[in-house]
Amino acid sequence: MGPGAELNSEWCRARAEFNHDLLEKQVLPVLIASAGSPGTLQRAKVLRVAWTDILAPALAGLIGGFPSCSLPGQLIANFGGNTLMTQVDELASNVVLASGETLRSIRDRLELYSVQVPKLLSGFENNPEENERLSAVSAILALRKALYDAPRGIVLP
Amino acid sequence: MSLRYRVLVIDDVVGKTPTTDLEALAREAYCASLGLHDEAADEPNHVVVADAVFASGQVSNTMSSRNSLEAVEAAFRSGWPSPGGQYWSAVLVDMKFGDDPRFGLQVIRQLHQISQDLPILVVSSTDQLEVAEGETLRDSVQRLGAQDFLASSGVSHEVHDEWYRSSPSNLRARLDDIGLMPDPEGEIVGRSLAMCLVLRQLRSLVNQSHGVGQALVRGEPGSGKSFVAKYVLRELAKRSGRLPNGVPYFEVPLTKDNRDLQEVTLFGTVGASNIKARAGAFQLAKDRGFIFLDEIGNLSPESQGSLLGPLQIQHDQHGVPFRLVRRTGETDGTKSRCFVLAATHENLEERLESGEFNEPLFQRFAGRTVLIPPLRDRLEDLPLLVNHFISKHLKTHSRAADVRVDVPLDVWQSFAKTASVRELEQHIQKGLSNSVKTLFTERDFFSKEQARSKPKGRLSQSPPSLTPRTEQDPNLEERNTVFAGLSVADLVIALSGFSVLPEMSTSEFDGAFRKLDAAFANAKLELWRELLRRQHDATGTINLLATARKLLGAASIPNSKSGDLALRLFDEAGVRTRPKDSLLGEIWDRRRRTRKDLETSTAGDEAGEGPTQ
Repeated sequence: MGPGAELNSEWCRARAEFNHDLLEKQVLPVLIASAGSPGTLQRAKVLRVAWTDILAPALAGLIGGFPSCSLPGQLIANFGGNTLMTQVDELASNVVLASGETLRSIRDRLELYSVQVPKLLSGFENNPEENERLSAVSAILALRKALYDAPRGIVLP
Repeated sequence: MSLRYRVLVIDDVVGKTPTTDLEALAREAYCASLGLHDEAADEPNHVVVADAVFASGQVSNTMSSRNSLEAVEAAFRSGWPSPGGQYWSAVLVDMKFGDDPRFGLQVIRQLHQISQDLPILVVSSTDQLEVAEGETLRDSVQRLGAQDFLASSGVSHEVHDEWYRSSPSNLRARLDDIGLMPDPEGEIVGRSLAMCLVLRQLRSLVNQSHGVGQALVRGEPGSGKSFVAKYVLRELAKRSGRLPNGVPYFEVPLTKDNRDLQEVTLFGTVGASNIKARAGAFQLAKDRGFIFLDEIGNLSPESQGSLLGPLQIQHDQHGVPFRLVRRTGETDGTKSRCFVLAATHENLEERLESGEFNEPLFQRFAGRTVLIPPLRDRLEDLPLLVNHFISKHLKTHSRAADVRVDVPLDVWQSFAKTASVRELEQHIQKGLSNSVKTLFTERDFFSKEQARSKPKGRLSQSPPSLTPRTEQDPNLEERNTVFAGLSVADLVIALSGFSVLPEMSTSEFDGAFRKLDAAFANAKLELWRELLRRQHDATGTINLLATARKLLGAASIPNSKSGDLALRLFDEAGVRTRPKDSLLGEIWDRRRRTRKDLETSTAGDEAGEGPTQ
């Protein structure tokens, strides 16, 4: 396995851990179970702290590695050198994927939600009302979808 | 005693013991979403559908976790089939473990190897994941025979909120339908899978019947058919919102001596010049009552024919089921809405062949026959049964609570292989008849001959003695069960936890030592083998006596065990002469005596085998 494939597989593993273990199995259920429950404020606080301490660094790592994890440059660097690599990656970044988006636009979405979610969680903590909770749930679901939309393999132009 | 549904949750994320606030809240949210009570936590505020035990299906070390089917099986077996163990109503399985979205499928396969009848519910958000060409995970799960998919996938909060709102009632409905459960009243003593399956079948027959159904219970004499009838009565009462004593109940014992009266007892009569008109069981039970026909094999040929009509269920124009029952001498008949449970210990198939039993009557119970397992097929229930009968007897005779019964479980097991539940109870009553003693041992219950006939060379897998004093520590039995299910590696980890040791009872220490002792002895033997091999490689000979003597000198394992190990080495090396070393010689003689006993016993068993009745 070359360096490009390794990077891709490592990124996919980290994404599964973030999306499945953290978002789906922990953050979303806790946020959804908060609806009208007496421990809402405590849950909101735990969510905000967990986001800052655990999820935000993990997400930053994911965004930092994207889309290079899906670009073919490193796979062919050994054969064609750096110039070719850059050109191929540029082409791959603009390929329209099955989801109708390009790698570039997925990265933009990921960055947008990574900023939005902590703000909304803080908003929910400061004002633990239903509207705030629903906004946070929607943003997390959107983040989860953006991560799912990211391709699972290397994109060839 | 009131029991609830009890589920095993196997999930790589919420199944782990929470170590962060978020993980703890996630476990809590999972429980709230399905209406579960985490047994490791306090009773929750939400509605509880089932108690839950969590397992991660993984093995952890300091570096990482890995998915483990062994860990899944160990978690399952901590409930079943350990002696006197707990029970699982269903297993809730996640699909995606770590980065393997298909591990859940392997978990289902593994659990189905234990029993195909095990209710497995899948709880996952990855139901639409494509696992093969044109096949989603949901398709695969259904193909494997898991009973349901409680999926939480969805992209909007409305979908998630709705899932969370409806899931407890969905889970309850599924458990009512397929969940396994011991008798909540505890009158049918036992939590084995075999008994839970019987009770589920009975419950299902009652649920489908709308009060007008029938079933045939078959089992050896003394297997508990009349207790099963009481269970059906309670289920009928529950389904119709009545107390059991509010259900008209008629037990009709059928014997060969009362054949003349059977027709009148069952169907009543319009009366004649010298016979008074009277109602039969079918008339008296017509308002959602219950008739128990005990030993249906004893029905007279005439009554067998007469029973065909009432056992043919009809439906009125509104689809309401009923039976048409005619009194003797009556032509029109009346409607009766009752449940009929027949029981027999006889081989009805043989009686059909000989023409003694009515084939259409036999067919009336087709698909509605329940087999009660004999005691020998549910030995896991033995500790519960023995303790139950001991406590019952002592309570009936107002005996002091300090009475102690110290009989190894394998002795009871040996007895139970040829006895019925009723015989076990009678045996215990007889053994406890001495009203002065406070300590009862094997000799009080079994003669020397019975004691000698117990199987030799078999290790007991269960606590060494049974005592009615377990109520002093209500969790002891459960903890022993957990210990029995732990692998040696898990046990070492558990023992090294600082919080575990101070809470362990003497019995738990015993169990832990036994397990470690056995593992240690095996490891020791391996080491000696290796030592001998090296000695042989280096010198071309082996000094077996010196090695065995060293083994006996090892202070860390008991002498008897070291002796066994030493002699196993001798066996393996093909040594046929008695060692001159006095200690080894003594062990050699003892071993030979044991072997002789075994050979005699085996020969005796073979000679004593005859045709079964």
